[in-house]
Amino acid sequence: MTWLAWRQQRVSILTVLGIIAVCAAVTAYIGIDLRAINAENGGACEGGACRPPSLSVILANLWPWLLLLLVFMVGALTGGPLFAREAEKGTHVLALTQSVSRIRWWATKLVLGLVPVVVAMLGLGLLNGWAMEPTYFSYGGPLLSPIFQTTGVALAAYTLFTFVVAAVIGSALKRTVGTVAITVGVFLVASLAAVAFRPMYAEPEQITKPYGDENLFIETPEGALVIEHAHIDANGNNVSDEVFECLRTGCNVVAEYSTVYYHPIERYWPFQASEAAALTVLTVVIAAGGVWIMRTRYSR
Amino acid sequence: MSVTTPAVAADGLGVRFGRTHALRDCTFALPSGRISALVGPNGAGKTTLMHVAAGLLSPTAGSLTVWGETPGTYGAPEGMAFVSQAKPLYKRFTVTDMMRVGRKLNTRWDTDLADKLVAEAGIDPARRVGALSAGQRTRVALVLALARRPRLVVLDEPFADLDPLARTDTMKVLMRATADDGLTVLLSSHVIAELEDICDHLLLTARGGVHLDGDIDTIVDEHHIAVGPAGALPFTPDAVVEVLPAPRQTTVMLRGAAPGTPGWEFTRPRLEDVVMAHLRRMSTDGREVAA
Repeated sequence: MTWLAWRQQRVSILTVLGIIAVCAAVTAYIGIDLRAINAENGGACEGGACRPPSLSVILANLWPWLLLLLVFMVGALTGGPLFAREAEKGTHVLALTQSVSRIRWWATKLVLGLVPVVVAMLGLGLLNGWAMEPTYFSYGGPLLSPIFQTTGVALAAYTLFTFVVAAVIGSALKRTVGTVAITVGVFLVASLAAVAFRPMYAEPEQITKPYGDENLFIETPEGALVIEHAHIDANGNNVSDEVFECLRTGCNVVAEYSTVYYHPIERYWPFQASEAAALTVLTVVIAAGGVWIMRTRYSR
Repeated sequence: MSVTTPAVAADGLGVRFGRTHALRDCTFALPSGRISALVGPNGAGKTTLMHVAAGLLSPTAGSLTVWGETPGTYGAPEGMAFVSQAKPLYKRFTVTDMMRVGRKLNTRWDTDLADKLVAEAGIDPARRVGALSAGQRTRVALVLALARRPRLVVLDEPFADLDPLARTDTMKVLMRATADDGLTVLLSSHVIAELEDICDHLLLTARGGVHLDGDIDTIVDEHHIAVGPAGALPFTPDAVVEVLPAPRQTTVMLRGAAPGTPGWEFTRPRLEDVVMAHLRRMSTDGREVAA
């Protein structure tokens, strides 16, 4: 059974691994060049004349978005046709009428398809985390999207999730094109939900200072994920709206404290673990749904 | 399992897709060690019936058993092989690869028989399946089924893509397996004339129900073609399968009526005539048989 799963998927697996390898090379280049630029003395601008940004800087801007796209493509275009194309061509009838149980057939194809790819994405994610470090100073930090999703273990977790979602939808729909389309939707929803829920993975830290001109926006430690700046009056109400209104119109303000809610950069790995765990749990639930579909609906 | 256990037996078998009944209240028993023909118009439920036997579909009513066991989701029932109408094969694999698939996915696999059957069909094992002709692909699909050494082979329209020579060769292979190994075969076909040569048992389905189920010789013996004068028919309506009126004479297909009515000439029909008469009758959908 393993032989058959490999023989059927070897071209697509090797192609994807090749693409990931190319991306790894680009990631390594970004990491090395950014560090080289940082090590040079002098800034980008000298005496009023600014050097154009180097390639690695331009790439570093785009790179997290391209990697997100890579996650989707790897997951949806490798996982989607896994069962959908067999059903489209009718070859699933061949596999389901030999002496192997259909769940074993399903599981072997699924696991063999995703393990090499998810492992490669794990490596790429860790590499990207290293490569992006020089950007945290200017672009905020690793807790921000889309850097968070494309570094550490999150890259592999999203790939795993998308792959299994695409495969299971494919087994239900039995059409490759529709499967990829639906997977786009699921991927977007999951990504946006993760961005929305991420600040809730832990109780935010807080810095409070007396209200004043210099404390309008409290400075957070480097690399922190800022959730909210707030201004509190003597009664404990949030009067941020009034503060900004008065900044425009010049009225008097009654705020007592400025405060900022944030997650410090040390929370990066705990948050990575939380997000990866959530995605893995979701993946397992969807896989269970896939088993049910395989048992009841796939061969109708 | 005794020899008298039917290979495939159904009791009130029904399969429903939404509100459509693909099969409705089917009851039949196919004998083991014989070649049975499943005949019927398109949409009669032949493919559905075969899919239930292969464990690909579950009945929504009644039951179907293969050697007394209900097919499940653990692959085809042990000892059974199924070739669907599409004769599915992996197009990018070579014939040798397909044989390897058979070996890897099955507990019982006769490599020598597989090689022998491929050679008999004149197929180069190194060729890709996608490069073979439709007839050759059918032969390969059949090899995949027979090399599992099953006790029952279910074939959905196996002769559809075969040229006359390949058809004869395939029939010989099936008949040899039946004679030598006691193989039971259930196959469906639209070409009824050739079924009479190789099949012993007939199952006629139309619109989801079973209309004829029995030994072919017995069925043909039951029927008569009667030719006689035009006008009122001297036969009970139940016995009349089909009437073909003409200006000066009437031809009637009878079932169960004894020959000997004066003024009428009785002949023994061919299997094809019997089946066609029943199929035409089914398709008139309750319109009155002209008296």
